[in-house]
Amino acid sequence: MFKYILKRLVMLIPIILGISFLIFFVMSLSPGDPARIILGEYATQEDVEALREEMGLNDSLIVQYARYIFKAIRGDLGTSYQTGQPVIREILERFPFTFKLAIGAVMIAVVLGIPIGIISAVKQYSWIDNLSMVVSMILTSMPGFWYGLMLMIIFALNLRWFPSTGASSFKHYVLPCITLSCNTFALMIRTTRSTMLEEIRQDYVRTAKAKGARAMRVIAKHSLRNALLPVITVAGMQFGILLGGAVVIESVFSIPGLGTYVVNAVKLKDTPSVTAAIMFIGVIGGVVNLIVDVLYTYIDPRLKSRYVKPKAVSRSEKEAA
Amino acid sequence: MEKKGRSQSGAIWFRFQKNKLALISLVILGAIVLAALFANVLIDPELVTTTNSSLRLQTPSAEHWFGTDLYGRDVLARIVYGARVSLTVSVTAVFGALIVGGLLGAVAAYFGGHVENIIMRIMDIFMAIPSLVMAIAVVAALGASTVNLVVALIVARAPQFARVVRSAILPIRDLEYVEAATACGTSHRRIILRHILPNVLGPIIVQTTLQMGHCIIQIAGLSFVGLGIQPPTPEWGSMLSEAREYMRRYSFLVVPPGLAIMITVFCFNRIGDGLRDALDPKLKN
Repeated sequence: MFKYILKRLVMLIPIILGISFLIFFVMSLSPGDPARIILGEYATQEDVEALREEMGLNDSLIVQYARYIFKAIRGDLGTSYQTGQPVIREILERFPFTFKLAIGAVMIAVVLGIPIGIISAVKQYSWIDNLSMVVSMILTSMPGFWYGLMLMIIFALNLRWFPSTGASSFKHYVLPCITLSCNTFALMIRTTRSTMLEEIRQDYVRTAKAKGARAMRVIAKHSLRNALLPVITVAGMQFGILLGGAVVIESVFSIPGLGTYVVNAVKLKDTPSVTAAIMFIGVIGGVVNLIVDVLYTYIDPRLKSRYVKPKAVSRSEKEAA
Repeated sequence: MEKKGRSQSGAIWFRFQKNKLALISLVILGAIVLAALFANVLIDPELVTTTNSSLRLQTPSAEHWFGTDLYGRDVLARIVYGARVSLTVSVTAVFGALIVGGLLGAVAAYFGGHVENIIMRIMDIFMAIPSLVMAIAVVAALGASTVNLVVALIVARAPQFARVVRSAILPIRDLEYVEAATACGTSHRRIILRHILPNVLGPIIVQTTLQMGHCIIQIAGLSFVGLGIQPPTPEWGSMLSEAREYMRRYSFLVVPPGLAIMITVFCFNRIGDGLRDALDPKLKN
């Protein structure tokens, strides 16, 4: 197993390099000359040229990228044009807000979505099932930021249960987390429902029932364990998407996370900040996906056997052949 | 299959129309598309952009069904013209992504080997970045405008089409009739376009419909944060961003654009689901 995890971690390196190169490449397409932006409109052409040389902007893209990555490994992601601060510090200051938001959203989706999905599957075509299907259809059709605005009008401006903007206390996170979770919540309901429906129809469930096991016990002990595996993967995969979705939701609730940071940096044409922040989100998302993938293999005995004891599998394969 | 004498498209339609929700969605979406197409006949274009400070922030009335915005423009008129903008941008972006991604996926699946490996590994990297973040990166590099938004959405969405098209073609690639066509000396281009593509149309159509919904939401989201379609062009997301400033007292302005997005996306999603069941009855439940 350790070998497998190590192998997957090694495989992570080209993905991280790929993601960062892709974003570096996309950002290099921006029409403005960074040296010109730093020095301002009235700088002489010689000064601009000298700074270009100093910044290494005349080198090929690959060389520039390699230099960027070697600096990044040492924790240097450049300096913001706007504030003059090291970008890495600004990102690390803001990331916890985004992280809390995404974690909160995943938690809400998992804690509420899975039980609702189970009930829907067990009581297929009941009113609970129909209601949860309608709700999940509506939630997936709603733009998250609008959902957030509606929640804000109802629960913050009219009922005054929660503050409408900011991120200084737990209460501030309630509405943004619910908002961000809306899509994932619906996805959790649907995934749990469909995997549960599949498991309930399996032969082993009938066998267990025939042996006199109570329906609840069969569901809890047998079906649920198998059904939850794909659900966990989906939840993990959602994390990266939620980090991206947070970009819009943060600006609805004025949360000073990475999302609002990226949006502001884009508007101010602060290229080093944008490149680093987007790379950061992309890489974190990619890493989380991979961790989920490894965990999944670890949890699922069927997959685990394939990687942990390759000899046993090859023997059984021979027998099969 | 269905009864004798029914053509294949007839059989698909027969199964599709049994899904009432999908059928209703098709009718509603049809109405939205017609309203968008004939917006300038239905509503005076002047109403959309002309500002009138004496009419600003009026609550809904018989004259202005959804009220008026900060600049005294009729909200209903802007919603209808907004449909035009949203639908045009998302149709262009989704078809662009379909062509780019679909070709890459088809080439990867058809030729296999190194070609497939290289294309799909690059697509994996694209897929690892959340599509909204990818779109923001492209807008950040090129600047916020409608054309750049379309480019951004194509870049962000093409990999998904590549994956769908590839996985649809893979099981067909090695079938005997393709082998027969190759043996007859048919060109690769003709085999892909004439022999393989018609057989994988189903998943592509479903994916295209579902992507339209996602795309409309992303357009609205990007415009909402100011990185998409720029004001004064009427767009649902940027209307919401304007309405948000006056939400405390004029909350009625926040409702219509969001409902417009939701209804349109809902229709696309339901039609997509309906098509999936109609095109491949085996998949249903």
